[in-house]
Amino acid sequence: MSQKKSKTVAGRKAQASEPVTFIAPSSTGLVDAAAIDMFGVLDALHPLEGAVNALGAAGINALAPSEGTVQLRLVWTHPSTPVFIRYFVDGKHAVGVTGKGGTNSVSINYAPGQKVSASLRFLGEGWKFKLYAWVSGQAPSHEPVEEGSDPSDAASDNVIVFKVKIP
Amino acid sequence: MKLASMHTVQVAATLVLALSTFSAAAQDTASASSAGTPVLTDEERQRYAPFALAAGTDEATKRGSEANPDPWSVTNSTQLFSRPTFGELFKVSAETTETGSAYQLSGDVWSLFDPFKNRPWGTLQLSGSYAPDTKEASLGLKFNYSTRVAALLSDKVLDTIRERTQEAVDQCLASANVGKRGVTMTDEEEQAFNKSLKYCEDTAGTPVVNKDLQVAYGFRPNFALGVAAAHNFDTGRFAKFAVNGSMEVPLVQGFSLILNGDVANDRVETGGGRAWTLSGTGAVNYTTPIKLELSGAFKLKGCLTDPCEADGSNFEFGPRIAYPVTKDTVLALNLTWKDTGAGLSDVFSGLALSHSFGFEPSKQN
Repeated sequence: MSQKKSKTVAGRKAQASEPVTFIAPSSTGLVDAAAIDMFGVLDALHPLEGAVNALGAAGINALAPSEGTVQLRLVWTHPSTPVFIRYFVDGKHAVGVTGKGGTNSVSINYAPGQKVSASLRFLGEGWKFKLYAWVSGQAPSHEPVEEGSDPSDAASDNVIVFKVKIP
Repeated sequence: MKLASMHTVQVAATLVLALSTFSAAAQDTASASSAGTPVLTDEERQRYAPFALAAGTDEATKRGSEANPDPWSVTNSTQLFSRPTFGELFKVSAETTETGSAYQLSGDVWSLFDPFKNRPWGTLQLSGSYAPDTKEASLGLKFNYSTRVAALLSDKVLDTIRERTQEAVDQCLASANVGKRGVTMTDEEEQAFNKSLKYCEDTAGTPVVNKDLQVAYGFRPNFALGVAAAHNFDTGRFAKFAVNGSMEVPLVQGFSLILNGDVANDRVETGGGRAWTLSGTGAVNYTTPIKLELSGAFKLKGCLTDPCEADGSNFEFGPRIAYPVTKDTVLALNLTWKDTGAGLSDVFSGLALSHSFGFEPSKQN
């Protein structure tokens, strides 16, 4: 399983992550345009693999999470597919949002040791996603905490529930 | 003439019956949604199963994968695009009437361009047919487009659906008794919770989403646009060019309205001139396991060149019944009356057989 994943993303990930330099976000919360990976953005024109990698790479250093939270950033293709996103902390509802446009970012209250679960419901077929987590006080990572794709065209497979392995 | 008017009465009676069932269905839907119980019965789950272009369904009658149901489509080899189809990958069909027969092959070519099976907009089908009686072969391309996709719904509507889904899932989680929540979980407790969550999303959440999406889609139509050209092997010449547009408006409970327009430029057999044919079809169909349909069609024909002896304009109508022999094979019988202005003709009967494959069967129901 993990072998297959790393095989499919290895080529693009190397290309997408190398030119990115992590800079501290400014006090305004805006990211320096020069820090955005140009190859990654161009890669966004590619279906699936490229878009997910590029959006993840370009977006991960845009905003730092505030104290005592974890920022969960979901990127997916096809960007036109809406996603119902729901996160739980220790089995308790934390946030529920409708994701549109291929990228969504939310911050939830989090203390180390707590268990975070995610439920994603894609309103469409042929999807693929990656989820990144950024805990306050830690350096952001380009390694997704979870990734997956539509196992088939069957409508019943459009919901995925998983444990979010917070780094 | 007496026989003809009796048929008209029968047809009218069928239509009235169909409309009364339709209004009863509309009331039923209203009461179901106002009750506010998000968990559906098995029957409701079946009723609100996904019915969109991109979500493959497993029954040929639901996909619209049948031989052409329209009057005079047989032997008219370019009229391949009677309606939008839903998730059809491949189809082979044959149809025959007293006036001739036709064979057709069609396949989805979108999959070739889109190896990721990413179909946010629609499907593209390539279709070929042959009519042995007129010795005409045609090749056509058809684009199916659905406006019944979640991506086209507003943020507000999507948020409402999401909240209702969450409510249903929470109700299910409460009854699933997953143990302490909101307190630091052990790994085993977390595993059990995630299992319950997946179960509740599938059994309580999915039916609510499917139902609410159907309600939100309302009467949004599906469209199909096609072009086709035909070659005549008898004369060895280009015979026809046709453009066809069709629209299907799904109503409730398996009822749908189908409108179809066709413009063709064809060579007239006798005399060798060219003529324009403009035709249109309107049909109401009802899909249970068996598909019942009532359709009416007009044809206007005008000459472009001299000499030209085109057939006159006419009106045709009649019922059709399509029976799914297996989930992929459909046998259809249709009866057609023709009115050329000088009274109704005797009934023409037609038989059609089609076999098709969907993109992938839905495991949902």
